[in-house]
Amino acid sequence: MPIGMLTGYVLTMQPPLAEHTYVTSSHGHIWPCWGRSSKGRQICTGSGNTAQADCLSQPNSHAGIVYGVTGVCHQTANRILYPAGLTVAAAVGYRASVFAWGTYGRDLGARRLYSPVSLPWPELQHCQAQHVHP
Amino acid sequence: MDLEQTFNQRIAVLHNTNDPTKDLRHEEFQALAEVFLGPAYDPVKLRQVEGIQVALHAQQASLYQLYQTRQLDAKQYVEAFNTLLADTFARCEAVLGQQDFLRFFGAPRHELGGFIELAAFLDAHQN
Repeated sequence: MPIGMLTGYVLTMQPPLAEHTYVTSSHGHIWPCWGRSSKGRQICTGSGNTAQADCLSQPNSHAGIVYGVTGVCHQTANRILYPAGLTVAAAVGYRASVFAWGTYGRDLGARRLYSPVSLPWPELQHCQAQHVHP
Repeated sequence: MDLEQTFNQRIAVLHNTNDPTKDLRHEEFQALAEVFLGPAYDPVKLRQVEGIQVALHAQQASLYQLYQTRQLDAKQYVEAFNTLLADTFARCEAVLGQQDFLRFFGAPRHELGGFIELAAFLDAHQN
């Protein structure tokens, strides 16, 4: 079980944009979450299953988020950080993002927030079915 | 423990509980309000802000439906959504006042614009 460190970063954008977030792992993964993925400031780090994080990040580091519809980079990063129990709550603009899309994204059809237990997003269900557990 | 850690703990508990009687949107809103505004904050103002949030969600769904049915193109959707969000935060600030808006959202209103980037949206929706 590839336990390693998962780390969330923020990049300050040109005002008035909220801070962009992305995620890396100690096993060499870099998940850009729809934007740039270098020279950021670390805001959270913790141990978790990096293989599960990589599974959750699919496809293309978007983690199943439909950009601008079910969430933005913050919800994408939170989904990838889920195996470590972390969120990017320290990012500027994060609370406004949660106000709009919730912690793990919002299902427009069901009009509900995604949640690992009560409304798991399809990619989480897929990764759990693949037995890639935290 | 700082407020962000407290908020994270509240959110972790919420998302590890499967209670079908609870509205997770409302529960997340309550967590935001109680942690950052305090448990005794004016309930009338909170109901107003929560009503603004519910309206935002409904209006976003309507905008996306217009995009899906090609009544809005990508650029129009992004502009309309960012305008909707800016209006939403202006209404929240009118209810909460500048100081409490900052406590609740963690940033002044002028730092909360342009949430959706057109380039990223176009990249995500090019097909």
